[in-house]
Amino acid sequence: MSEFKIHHHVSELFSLLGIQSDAAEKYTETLSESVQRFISTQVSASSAVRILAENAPNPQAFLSKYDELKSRNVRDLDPLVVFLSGLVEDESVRKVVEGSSKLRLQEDGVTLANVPSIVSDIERAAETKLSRDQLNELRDRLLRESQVMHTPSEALQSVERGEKRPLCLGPPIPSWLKNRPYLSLDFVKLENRQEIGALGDVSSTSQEHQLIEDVLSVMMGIEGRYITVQLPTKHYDSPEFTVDPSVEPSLSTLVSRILPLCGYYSQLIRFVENKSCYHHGLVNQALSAAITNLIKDYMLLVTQLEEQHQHWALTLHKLYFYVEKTMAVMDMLACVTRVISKSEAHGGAVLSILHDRTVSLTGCGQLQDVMVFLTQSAAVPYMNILAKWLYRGIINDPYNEFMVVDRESGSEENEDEDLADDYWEKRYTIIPQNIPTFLQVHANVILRTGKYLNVIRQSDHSVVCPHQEELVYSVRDRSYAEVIERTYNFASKRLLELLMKEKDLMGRLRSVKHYFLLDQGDFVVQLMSLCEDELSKNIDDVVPTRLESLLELALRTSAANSDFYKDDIECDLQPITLMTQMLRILSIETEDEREYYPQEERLQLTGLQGFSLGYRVTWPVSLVLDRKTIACYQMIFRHLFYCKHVEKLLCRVWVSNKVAKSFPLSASRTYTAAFALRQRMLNFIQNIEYYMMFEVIERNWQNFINKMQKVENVDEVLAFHNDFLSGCLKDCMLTSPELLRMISKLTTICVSFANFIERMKKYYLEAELWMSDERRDSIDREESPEPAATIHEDSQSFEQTISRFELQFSGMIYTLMERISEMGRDNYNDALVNVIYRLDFNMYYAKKHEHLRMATSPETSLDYNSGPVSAEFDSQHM
Amino acid sequence: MPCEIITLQLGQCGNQIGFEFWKKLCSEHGISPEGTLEDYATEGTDRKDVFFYQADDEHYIPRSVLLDLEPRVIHSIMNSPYAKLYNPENIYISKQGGGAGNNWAAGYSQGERIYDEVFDIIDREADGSDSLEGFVLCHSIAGGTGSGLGSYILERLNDRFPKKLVQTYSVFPNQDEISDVVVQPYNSLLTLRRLTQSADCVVVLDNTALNRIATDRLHLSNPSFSQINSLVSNIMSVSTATLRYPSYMNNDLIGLIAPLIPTPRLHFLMTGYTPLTTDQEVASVRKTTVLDVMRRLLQPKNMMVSTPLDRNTQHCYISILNIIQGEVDPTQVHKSLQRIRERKMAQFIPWGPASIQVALSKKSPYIQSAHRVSGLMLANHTNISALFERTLKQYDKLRKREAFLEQFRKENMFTENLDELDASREVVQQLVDEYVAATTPDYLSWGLTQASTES
Repeated sequence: MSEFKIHHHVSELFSLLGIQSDAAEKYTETLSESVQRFISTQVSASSAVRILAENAPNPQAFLSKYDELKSRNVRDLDPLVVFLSGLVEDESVRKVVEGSSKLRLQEDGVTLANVPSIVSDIERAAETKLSRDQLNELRDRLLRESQVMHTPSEALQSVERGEKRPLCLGPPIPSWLKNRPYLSLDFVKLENRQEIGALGDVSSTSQEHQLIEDVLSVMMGIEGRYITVQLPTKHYDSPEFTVDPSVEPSLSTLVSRILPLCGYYSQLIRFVENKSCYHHGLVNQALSAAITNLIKDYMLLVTQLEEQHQHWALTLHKLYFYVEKTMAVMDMLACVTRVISKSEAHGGAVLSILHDRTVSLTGCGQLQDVMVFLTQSAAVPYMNILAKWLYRGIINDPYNEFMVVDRESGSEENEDEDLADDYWEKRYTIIPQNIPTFLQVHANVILRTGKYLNVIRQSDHSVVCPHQEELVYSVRDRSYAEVIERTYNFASKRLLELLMKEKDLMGRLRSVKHYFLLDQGDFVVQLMSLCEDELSKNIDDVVPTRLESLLELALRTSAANSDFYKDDIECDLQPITLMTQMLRILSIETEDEREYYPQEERLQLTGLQGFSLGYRVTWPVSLVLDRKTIACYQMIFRHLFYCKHVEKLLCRVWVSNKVAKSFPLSASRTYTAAFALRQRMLNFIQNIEYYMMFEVIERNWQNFINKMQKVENVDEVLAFHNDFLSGCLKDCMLTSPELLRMISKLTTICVSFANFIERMKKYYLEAELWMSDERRDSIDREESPEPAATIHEDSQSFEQTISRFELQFSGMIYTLMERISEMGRDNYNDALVNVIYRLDFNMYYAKKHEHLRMATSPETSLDYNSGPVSAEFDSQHM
Repeated sequence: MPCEIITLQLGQCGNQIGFEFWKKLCSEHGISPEGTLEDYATEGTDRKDVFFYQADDEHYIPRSVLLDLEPRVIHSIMNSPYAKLYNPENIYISKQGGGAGNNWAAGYSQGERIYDEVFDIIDREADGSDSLEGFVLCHSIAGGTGSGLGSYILERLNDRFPKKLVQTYSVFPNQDEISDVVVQPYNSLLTLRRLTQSADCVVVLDNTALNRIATDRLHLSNPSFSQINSLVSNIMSVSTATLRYPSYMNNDLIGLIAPLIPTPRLHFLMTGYTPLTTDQEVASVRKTTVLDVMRRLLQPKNMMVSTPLDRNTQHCYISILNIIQGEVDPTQVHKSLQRIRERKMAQFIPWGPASIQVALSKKSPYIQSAHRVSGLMLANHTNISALFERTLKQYDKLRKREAFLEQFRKENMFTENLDELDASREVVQQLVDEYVAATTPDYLSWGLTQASTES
């Protein structure tokens, strides 16, 4: 879970609630902590419960609900409670939440639809407390968001779909099972009981004998004559027994001591019969089978007892003595099954409950042995699924019990291209409640192992992990952990090898860098000069096929020709400017989203502004270079490409200006201002390029390469590559709308300046060369005043335009530099401040700006003495 | 194949440094003296097509034109192992074979005579390239052919290819020793005018400094021409390294020189190179970090131009481009720049932003070097005006005595009057003034005020 995501969700939540508060930070912290499960300790949870109870209008109801949830082993209950207490304690949030609760109630109708079951439970149970409801719901939203990594919202919906589906899972249950109640080994409600007299009328020995008979029956799920049964309302509760009241009290007490055992039996039998249905899943079935095994022993015991009874050798005391030990075991079993039934646990969750119970019984000798037996038996099907996943990457999980879910198992072959994009994140996801607690620590490793194997398998490799051995659950020696570790190592190594060696990932990336990050400079120069005509058209008039062939030509004729992957490059025209694209991406999270929606922009967009490269990638390289990543590369490319274009324009101005060296001195001097401005622009654009290329891209690339040498698995590859790209984006100032806007304004000024000079070229060439020709022709003659006057007029307007450009440019660059240094100070961004070093190496702007400031504002000019000092101070700082 | 560059070698000196330059390029690109690619160099990512093209049999031919008015140097080239490298059609030796007799005027007027033949060659070369970016001219300004014929060709190139760049590598005469060419000041002055008005970028190679570097820094007691020329060819090859080994930036000639030259006239560049070694002396390997290299490049003793210290004017850098080769960590570059800035190791112009651009370039993989990092500096420094002033002074001395002018009067240009000399002097004087003005903050309005006071 990235901190960024949490931050985003929190801020979204806060803006939804309309809170302007610094508290967002705090909640982010709390949340990220809770995500990391740091606060699952009892202490904080219980104190949180106390706080909540104190604040609740109906503490009793709250506490009972809490206990209920707790007893059902609801996940994330403790973090939830802690978070809620945090909310309750924060006045401002609470007020807002309460204030908006009315309004939000309506919205809830919508949001509730995709809220996991926990919450709806909370909702239903806590109707008594309106504000609490709101808080619950709130927290749930956060929780849901914070679990995005495991269960993205889409995933959630399908989980729900999956939850509705179970009824149709597996073959249908034949109706005769329901029609014939006597098939059950449990108590059956008898319609008409024959009345018999009270037992108290006979002698106590006879009473005892009769009672033993009854108890033995009841122990096997048959209602006795003097012990009657009331079936419970909820199927997981134990039935209640009533002993004939006329029985001698001493006997009755003894019987009532034994009776719970019968209740346990009934519960167990019901559990077994109930959970043996297909839709409860393999784990439950396996558990049922194991319990049936135990019950067999129990039945044996009952038979033995009955035999003794037949020989008149059994008394109630003896009976009690015989069953006492069994009772403890049965009690434990009943308790476990009750929890499982109550929480409707399924698959991995059952194993969690069993494992927790097993662990808590450490030191209880025989009891624990029984639990270990149960857990082991129940875990067999799960472990088989796990083994298949770990060894082959295949999920064979008909009842949705496994912790990993394959989202698109249905459509496997037809998604070669799109598959790549979300593949890594979305295709296989972890269902948290299906992780058995003993596998919790390995969950991520397990997920990745199978994922890796799948990737390898899809590129037509029949991989099977060597040294397969059966996975067996055990409490003490965690042999499965070793196996998981080993398979993971195998899979990650294999995939890494596949990517790095067979698919030459680094070569690919280097090639991508050549083109998208302009590492191969001559290619770009070539491309630019070839495509210039085509790209200067409006974007709708650009012929993509022609562009494609020009690109091809540029690739063949530059040094890129020796690149092995050059054929994967393609053209890509995008109908929006980079600015808009970036702003749209950046504004997704903010209110301004609508503001940047372009309406008529397309009309003025030239091909150049929309031009970008594309890259064809094949599976499994597309794992690393997915569409999102390519889009990032494209953004950087477009930025750099446009800067290069501006540089080229300015260089062209230089070339067309170079004729001025043969102008007579006085004439050429009038253009000096224009030359100087051009130089400043060129200086700006080149330094920005230098900065981005050498200080940002190249430096990040070096880091990336260094890290890649030590890379161990594919997820690291992805992470490093992501770091590289986001570092580049950030330091190239693409992620700050403010800076981006300034830079784009500066380039616009440069472009219009270059265009202006190109337009003027004709005039000044005519004017000056004609003039100098005339001079050459008539060296002695006085210059006629007329042409001089026109030239003067011409140059006057020329000079004005230039000085206008100059003002615009200077103003913009001052703001840019000021903003950058401010940002550098604010969040100590070392890299960014380097731009200033570059842009103003000889402190020309710094001095001039200081000068200007003093000239314009009278207050500062009063402080004249401090002026230069602060300038120096600034410069030292920069 | 974009951005091709045609090299013109003029006169004795020009052909000698040109020869060394091609030798160097061949070894850097793994091309044998016959023009064929060496076996080890078949899979390069370098760009040979900027300076070479391929013949039908795939062997590489330099885009080079060799011109001279006397046969000696070119003959010696044709007797070297590299004879087969050049396209024989591109070699032009004047039929008279008498040379220009160290006379600018003779060279210039012979240029007029051989114009058609020379420009046939140049046009053919220009047509043979897809998008010619410019010309590089190698010559000296002191002799007859390089200066006179060079001046003539510069003017014509400018007329004929106004949009192409013309860069020259101009060798300035040694001031320390008495030249055997007595009219050298005249030659220099007349050539300087053409360099000012018709060349786009002049890389000044000062023989004074080259000799001084050879004796002081390389400890050669009596440096030979070829040793000096290998220094020059080194500079020429490194300054084109970014074109031949493409990287992020400076992949075309214009991108290289445009930022160096803010106003069209101030286009005389100094160079500096470090570490300096010769073939014999590889033993003294120094520590070369980026900062070391960049710091050393800023030291006058490493500059290939020797200029006297002028205490009256605050001379400063107009622009600097460092081409650093070798294994360089980009962060080191930044740190070095920061250090230089903090220590104020370089003074820059006060009238505009200026910085040390650093272009990182690959090294040829075929040449082993003991140094990790090496660097070339191309700098536009106002102090170069001292060199021109020196030329002016020497010219004035001769001119006052009207010495040695009769040779000039023989040629058409000077039969009627010596106005050409006066005009040239004015242009060069203006150039000096402009360089001096560029040291002041109000450079941008300098010419204007002068123009208004004149009128």
